[in-house]
Amino acid sequence: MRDIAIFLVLLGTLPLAMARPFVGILLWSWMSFMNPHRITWGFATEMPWTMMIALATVMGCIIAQEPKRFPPGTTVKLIVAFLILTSITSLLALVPSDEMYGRWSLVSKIFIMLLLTLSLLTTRKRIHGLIWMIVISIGYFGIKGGAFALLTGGGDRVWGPAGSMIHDNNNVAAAMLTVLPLIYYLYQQAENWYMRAGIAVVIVLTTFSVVSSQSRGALLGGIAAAGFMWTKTQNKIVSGVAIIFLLGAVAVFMPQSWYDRMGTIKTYSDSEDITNNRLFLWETGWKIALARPLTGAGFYSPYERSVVEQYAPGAVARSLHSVWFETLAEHGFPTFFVWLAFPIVAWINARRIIKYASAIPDLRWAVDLARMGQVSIVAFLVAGTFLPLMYYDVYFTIMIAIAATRILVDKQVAETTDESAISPWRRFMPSAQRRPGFADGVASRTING
Amino acid sequence: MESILFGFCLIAVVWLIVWVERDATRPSERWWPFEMKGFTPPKKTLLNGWRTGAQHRRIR
Repeated sequence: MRDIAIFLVLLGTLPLAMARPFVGILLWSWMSFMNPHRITWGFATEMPWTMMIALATVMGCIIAQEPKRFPPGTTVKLIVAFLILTSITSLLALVPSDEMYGRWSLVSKIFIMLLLTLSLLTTRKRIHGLIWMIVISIGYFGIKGGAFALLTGGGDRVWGPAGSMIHDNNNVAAAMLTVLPLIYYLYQQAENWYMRAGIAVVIVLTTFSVVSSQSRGALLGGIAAAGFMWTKTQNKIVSGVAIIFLLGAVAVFMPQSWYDRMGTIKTYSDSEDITNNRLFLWETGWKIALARPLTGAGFYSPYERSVVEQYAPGAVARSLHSVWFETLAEHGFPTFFVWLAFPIVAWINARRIIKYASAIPDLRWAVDLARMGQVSIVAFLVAGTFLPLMYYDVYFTIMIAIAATRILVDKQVAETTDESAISPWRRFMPSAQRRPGFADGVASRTING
Repeated sequence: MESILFGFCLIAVVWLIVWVERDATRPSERWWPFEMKGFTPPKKTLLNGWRTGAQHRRIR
């Protein structure tokens, strides 16, 4: 039944993607974030949906009246640099080519589609639609996991769709945690009170789902995100009380088995167990990175016994449980710095949006999105310190949405400054306009910057 | 319960796609759950999309 439903939805919307490529971007995002075909258990599971959507979208980009060039900004350059560097490190990888090629192909597709996403995010409505798609995709697991936690008393774990990036309980918890600030952004932006009430319920259920995943990394990420989110909200008293109330409710609800597992955070680095001690695992990644600083050992190298035996004898070949060390081990320092530049650039973009858009009432949404985007980045990076989610598409899509928002804000700020700063007689006096100080500041800086 | 949630999810995806692609300048009587606070559709004027002289000079 689910197969037929998903087949019909895609049958109806795929042709639309050729005429309106942003539909293709939304479909691609849905398929890659939620993996709905993997929870159908029938013929739809193995169909190459994402390839069909990508082809339809690319055709749509060529046919339709959409921008035919990539937007300005550092994010595009970073994506291109990351694609080139990971391709080079894959050519020089020490990992069997089949596994490595599969991973390289997946990551390359994600980043190529991110480029298309950024070039098609040209309006507020599209950005808002993309955020909604992220929230629908991950919120599905939040609602399901939260209801499951409430029904079972929080004693069992929540899992993502099999065969996806978020199958593991830790990964799905990190995904929900990353998306939680965006759900709050939608709460702020919702026009109707009943939508706000519904979104508030989703926030509560997703919080329960994150906690009941029994992921220690997500717990630490959640604490960091809650603290940072509090600093980013306008009404500190109300938000502080709401956060404390929500966390208190969760703490009262969770069973003793949950407290026992979370208590093992203290022994993360004390354990003599070489397979679970995070410091041992991270040391393995560090050794591989130092041995091959320019190219790393390639995708999946920490999972490859021969590679680990060569550079860190005695260590265990498995996930390094850290976005930082796994990126370093897989690709070396140059790619790592490019990977690290993504959140730094997104942070700068968000700060710029907050600085320039705060004074313009029409851009209130951009300020809210920038603030919650920053919270999402903090949540992901703190939780990701203990998880292997280096190429998580939702995380990168959030940064793409921030970059697109900055482009829109720059345009609008420039227009606003034009309208307000240029007096009618000066419109006809080119020399006056070129004088330093005239209509300078925000507008000229944003156009050039 | 999971299938019902899955069904809602599919409806939400289709509804969202229709909302994103519909022409925001045309008034609609239908309820759109994804509608944003403070969103004012662009005004349709004769000069929409035209640059002012100052903008032309600044771009140059």
